[in-house]
Amino acid sequence: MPSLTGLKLFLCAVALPILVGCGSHAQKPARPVGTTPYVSADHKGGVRGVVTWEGAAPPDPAVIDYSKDPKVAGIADKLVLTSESLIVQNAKVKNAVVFLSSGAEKWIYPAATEPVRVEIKHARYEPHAVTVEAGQKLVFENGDDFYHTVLGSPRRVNVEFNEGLHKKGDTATRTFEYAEMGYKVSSDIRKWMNCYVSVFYHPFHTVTKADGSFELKNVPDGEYTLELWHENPDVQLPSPVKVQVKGGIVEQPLALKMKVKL
Amino acid sequence: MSSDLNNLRPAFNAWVHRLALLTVGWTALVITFGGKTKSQEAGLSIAEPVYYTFHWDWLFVPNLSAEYTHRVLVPILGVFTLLLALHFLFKDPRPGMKKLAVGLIVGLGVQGVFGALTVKYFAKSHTSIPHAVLGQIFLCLVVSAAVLTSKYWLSDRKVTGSPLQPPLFKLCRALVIMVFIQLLLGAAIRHDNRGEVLVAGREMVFIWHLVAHVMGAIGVGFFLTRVIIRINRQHKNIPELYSPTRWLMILLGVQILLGTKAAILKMMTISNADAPPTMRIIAATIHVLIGATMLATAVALMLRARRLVEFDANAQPAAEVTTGTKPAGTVGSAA
Repeated sequence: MPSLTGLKLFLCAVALPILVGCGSHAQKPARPVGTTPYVSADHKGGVRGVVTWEGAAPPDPAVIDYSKDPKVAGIADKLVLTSESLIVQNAKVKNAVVFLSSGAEKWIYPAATEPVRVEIKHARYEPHAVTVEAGQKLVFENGDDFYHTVLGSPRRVNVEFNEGLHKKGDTATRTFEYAEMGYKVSSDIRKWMNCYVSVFYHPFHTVTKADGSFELKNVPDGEYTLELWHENPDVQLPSPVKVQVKGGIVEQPLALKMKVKL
Repeated sequence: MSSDLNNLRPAFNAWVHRLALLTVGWTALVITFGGKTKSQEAGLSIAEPVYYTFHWDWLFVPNLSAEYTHRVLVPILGVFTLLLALHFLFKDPRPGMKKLAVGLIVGLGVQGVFGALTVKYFAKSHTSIPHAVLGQIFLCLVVSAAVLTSKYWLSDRKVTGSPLQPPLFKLCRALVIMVFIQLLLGAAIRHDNRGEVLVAGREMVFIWHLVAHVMGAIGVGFFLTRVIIRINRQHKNIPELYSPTRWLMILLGVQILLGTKAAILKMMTISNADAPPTMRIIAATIHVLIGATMLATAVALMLRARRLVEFDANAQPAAEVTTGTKPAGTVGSAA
């Protein structure tokens, strides 16, 4: 087969991706332009509550099969055996992201200097869900003594990345430029490893603990919209809630339930 | 070509031919592990585009083992390819073989570059499709090397005259092109940015590619049928021509079954785009391997047709040949 024919065929192959279609390019959310400098110590208000589970109990989480992975089999006694996609204990929801979606735009926030840390321990990302501010460092650290890859696959706007962490103590540091909910960090080696990163332009965001509790601190007085996000697509999210902060802590419970499937 | 071969034909070298066959097999192995890596969506299991350190234990970690084995096999393929290319450049008197040698070296180098780019750019289709398809083209080149170093190619084999138009070589060439187009369409379906077109609600892109791929299968069947009819009618006594057509028929049937299964499983498991289930991995990987085998077989058949059959306006039609009467105007020794 003449090499020139091979070259022509190869050029056709390079042109083919045009037929496949380019990926979607979502609009990057613009950073709000604040007018008033924000100093956290000046504000004592906040919002706190508990995210509970309503209705029928969620399905049992999927069991993870580690048996084929010789590296992980060596630490089998330390493994979490089930999926973390939806964790509900005593009707309390863990790893739900609670945040203020409006009302915080008028402030100018100082850059967050403290990095947020995620450790890969026993072939899991810990914590499973984190929230960061745009521009804040997110540090992934290998807590296992074998090779892991940290694969960042954006839903829409932030940049992808793929870092190799060869041994215990190796770190990879990333920052995210745009606000985005549920930026998925995974691994092409161990598909059960997932961590969801939600990025905001302000500091009023958190992830619920194992008892479902959350607290947003140092919130200036004003009217806000409180929202909740969860990674599991089968979960029905509650409608956004208006909260009024007036120098004190506002108690606002939230609830999740399964979506009704037709 | 005939006079060129007459003047420049080297003696058959069994070791060179065996090296070429080994290179063909090794290339198929590389393609298989590359296909398995893609089927498992494990193309990014090694974050570094270029990585030299050997870890024997990586060969046993699922997902990581497919990509790592793929990378480990390539340098060995490089050695085989380089040896072949050096022989063609310095020992083989035929000018065409020197071009083939350059094609082999350049093809391997460019393939390596695209492999690194595929990892660097997160296995997106604009790098992964050329990487996949170039692997198939490289396979065609090494198959050509195996055919062109074979005993019958370098022998005093008489060329059979055939009065039929179009010449068998052109029918086989059309088949090769059709199989290659099928491979391109298959690559477009597979390398879809991990199911992004389906998840993003752009199902029509996937459906278009699937319909085109099905049409391509019909096209391959059409051209293969024409080739089979011609060979059965005129050249059934030439095993180098007859045998590949049988294999192609069988492979086409298996491909259609496997392709149907792979497509159905893909549509059923859209939500598992990142972690496809085992049956889908197996079906898709074997489908890729058989596609490569079909392309390689079609290329070999095309080259053999070029070597063994020439259009001869004076040759008798097939009916007279089968009665045992020596056809008038049979092309004489041309090799």
